Amino acid sequence: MYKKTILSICITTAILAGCGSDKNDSNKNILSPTSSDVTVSARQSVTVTGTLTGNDKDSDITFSIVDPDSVKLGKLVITDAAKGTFTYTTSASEGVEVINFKVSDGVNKDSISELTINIDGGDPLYTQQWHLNNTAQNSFSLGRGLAGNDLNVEGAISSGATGKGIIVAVVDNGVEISHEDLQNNVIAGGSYNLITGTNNPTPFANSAAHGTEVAGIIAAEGWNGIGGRGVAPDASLVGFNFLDQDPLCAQPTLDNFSTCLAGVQTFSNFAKSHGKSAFSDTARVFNQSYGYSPTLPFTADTDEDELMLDVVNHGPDGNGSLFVKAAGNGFQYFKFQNAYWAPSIAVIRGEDNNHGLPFHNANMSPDNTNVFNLVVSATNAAGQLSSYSSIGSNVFVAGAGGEYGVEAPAMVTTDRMTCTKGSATTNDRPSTGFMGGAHPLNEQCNYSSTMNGTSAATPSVAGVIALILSANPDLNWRDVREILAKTSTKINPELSPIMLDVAGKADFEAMGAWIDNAAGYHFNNLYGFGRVDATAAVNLARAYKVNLGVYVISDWTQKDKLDKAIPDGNPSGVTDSNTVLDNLVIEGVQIELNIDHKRLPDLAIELISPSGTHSMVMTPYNGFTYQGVADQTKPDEIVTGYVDTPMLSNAFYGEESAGDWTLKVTDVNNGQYSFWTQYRAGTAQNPTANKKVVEIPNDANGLLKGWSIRFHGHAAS
Amino acid sequence: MKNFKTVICLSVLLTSFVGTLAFAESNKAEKLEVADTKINEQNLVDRTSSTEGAYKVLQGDSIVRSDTLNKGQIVFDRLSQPSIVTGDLVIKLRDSASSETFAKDHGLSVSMNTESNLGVYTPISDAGLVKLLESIKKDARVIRAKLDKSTNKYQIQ
Repeated sequence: MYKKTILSICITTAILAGCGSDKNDSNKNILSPTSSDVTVSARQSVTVTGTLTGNDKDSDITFSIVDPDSVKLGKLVITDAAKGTFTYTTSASEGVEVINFKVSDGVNKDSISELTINIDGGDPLYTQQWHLNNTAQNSFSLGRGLAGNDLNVEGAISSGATGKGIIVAVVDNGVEISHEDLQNNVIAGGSYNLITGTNNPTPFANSAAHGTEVAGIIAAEGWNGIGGRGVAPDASLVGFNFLDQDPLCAQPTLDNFSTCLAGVQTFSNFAKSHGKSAFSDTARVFNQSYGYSPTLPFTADTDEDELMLDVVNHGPDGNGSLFVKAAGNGFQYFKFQNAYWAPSIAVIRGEDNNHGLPFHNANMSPDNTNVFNLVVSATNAAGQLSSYSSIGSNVFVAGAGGEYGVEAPAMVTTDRMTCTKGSATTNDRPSTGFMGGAHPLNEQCNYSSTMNGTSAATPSVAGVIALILSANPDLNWRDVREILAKTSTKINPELSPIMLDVAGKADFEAMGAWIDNAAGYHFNNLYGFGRVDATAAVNLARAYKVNLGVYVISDWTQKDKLDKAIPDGNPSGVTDSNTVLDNLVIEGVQIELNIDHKRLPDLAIELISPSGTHSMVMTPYNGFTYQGVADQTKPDEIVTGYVDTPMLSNAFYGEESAGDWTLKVTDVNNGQYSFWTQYRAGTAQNPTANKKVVEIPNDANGLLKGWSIRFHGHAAS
Repeated sequence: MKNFKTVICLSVLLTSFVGTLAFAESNKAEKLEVADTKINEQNLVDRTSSTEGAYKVLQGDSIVRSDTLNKGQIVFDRLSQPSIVTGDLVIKLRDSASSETFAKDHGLSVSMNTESNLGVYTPISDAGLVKLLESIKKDARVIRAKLDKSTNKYQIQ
């Protein structure tokens, strides 16, 4: 009897030995595997790695889950079945998972034990923050997003890049620094009130929530059991109320007008809040969710630009800082001089789309045309350009800005505390169920679900930059731009170009599809290099070996006294070439234009590199419409066209500068043109009406008088 | 056309302070509703001509031309947008110039200066900002100079 058993074992062992197992080579596998219970702790959205416990003294073993359906709160993956290693990720803010796993040797009885996962310290609103992890949640709106269209933050966070050690300055209308979900990330005594001189930049007006909402998108505290989470949940915050208003101005009169306007937006205060004071000179990232959208061309502010150049080059520890800037919210219409401007009333009613072109091209705002501002457009939860987002060749990347939060998701973030302040206030008929003080997750109205705009997209990118810098603090501002250009996601890859009918032919490309430039970077005027991908950016930041060399700004290469006619309504347009001798690897291209034209929205302005890359730096049918309302009796108001008007393109990033650059100016419209404005009453031209359709006549040729070009980059090898 | 009068609505001057438009100010991308608007009827009178004085300033209830500017004075730009003269000057000096010496020479104190010699300077006395500015611009050490002003150019997006 025993002999037979021994023989049987020997045969079995011999068969198994043929499988090549080392242990089986020992002619064993008599013993059953053993296992023991395992307990791990997990945090919401942070991938946990662990090892199941099991053993078999005479055989190889395999780990597996007894019933995959028993994993209720997250996703469990056995990454190495032989070793029992696993990863676990959950979106739950709290809870306990008990999962049976088994250890098998293929012969003897399996051993079964429990894996217990304790989930704690999450953020209850995290699951509605589509920009962090888009699961097609509705974010308290009537609609849903499209899963996957997010900033891909989870991998970066799980890898340990959380923004820790990086200071982000929120330059806005103030920040409620005592907010329950911000206070632990706010540097005590580190903020500055530009009106009172105190260290509390909380806005004066109860309704002013913008900066607090922005701050939450950047660095709302994570895993504290309340609210949501910032993109960089461990980053530090300082706030400046550069856009706040003095409370004395609640009822402005002629008597207190001087006091009221003597508020905040001076160059001196710009300097204090943008890196040139003891309160702002430690910030590595400046969030600027502000801007202006003019209806006539302006020149750049040389002083602001130069101050920013100083800060990007000489910021904290010599690595410099980054300025992140909102592109604008004027795709359909915008506000300027307390009036609204739109291409037509039909656009506002949703009956027209202005040929698919932006009314506010981001290059219309001079503050968006310096290289030091990293200009951000907005995408929504469906992975499309947000309906309002300004765009242009100066956009560097796209962030998450959402829609309006009613029909489709906006951003879920911090709001002013209590139901008497901020965006969410006590209301029987709120814009969404989350906003009126009755929602169980927002009974104190400390959070908002309707924050949107490029104002929201900008801090989403500022947060990602904080993650990048926390992963590799030695990076400078140009390194970060390089990383973003290389890693941002090409969304809507099949995007079609916008074609216009000019002189009877519908073949004028007014705005291109995605391009791959000569240096291999993909670029598009809607999204720049694409939507930021936090995980890819952080991974590259850790492995970053590139040395961009010394930063060089070339001299302007000028062409003037050209006086070339721009034929009216003719797709041939006019071209002029500018030969550039300096050879830099391009990190940004600026031009300045001098063009006489009586109807600026007619003009499409395109820049073509020596490598053949085309960039539409100013799209036609834009909002440079002031010529239609200018008081012709006032010489100061008359707009002759472009006068030293700056524009920026990022489309040539990585290409070399030497060679012939071509400017093409095309007048696309020889017919009628009108726009709509809710304009000021009481001008000589417009004595009573304040809302009107304005026609701008023009059948004359324009005149290209001159243009200049310069480059930002480093010496080509 | 002497004393040509243009009525400018106060609401324009008080850009962003008064909610005269029917659509409310918002802290996000604004959804525009097409509605009638009520414009504040309180008016200022523009008494400026195109030739008198270099600056358009507020004097009483009128906008007039002036060749002088003082700290706290309201001045209007080419589009009649108001700003306030803060009294400070923004001055870019050549690299070789000492900001401290320059300030001493012109009766200024240095409030802030960057590595590229762009600074904010405060006059020690309040007298005659325009004359002071003109004098400073003639200094060979100066690349550019202007009066600092408080504006409401930037808006939340």
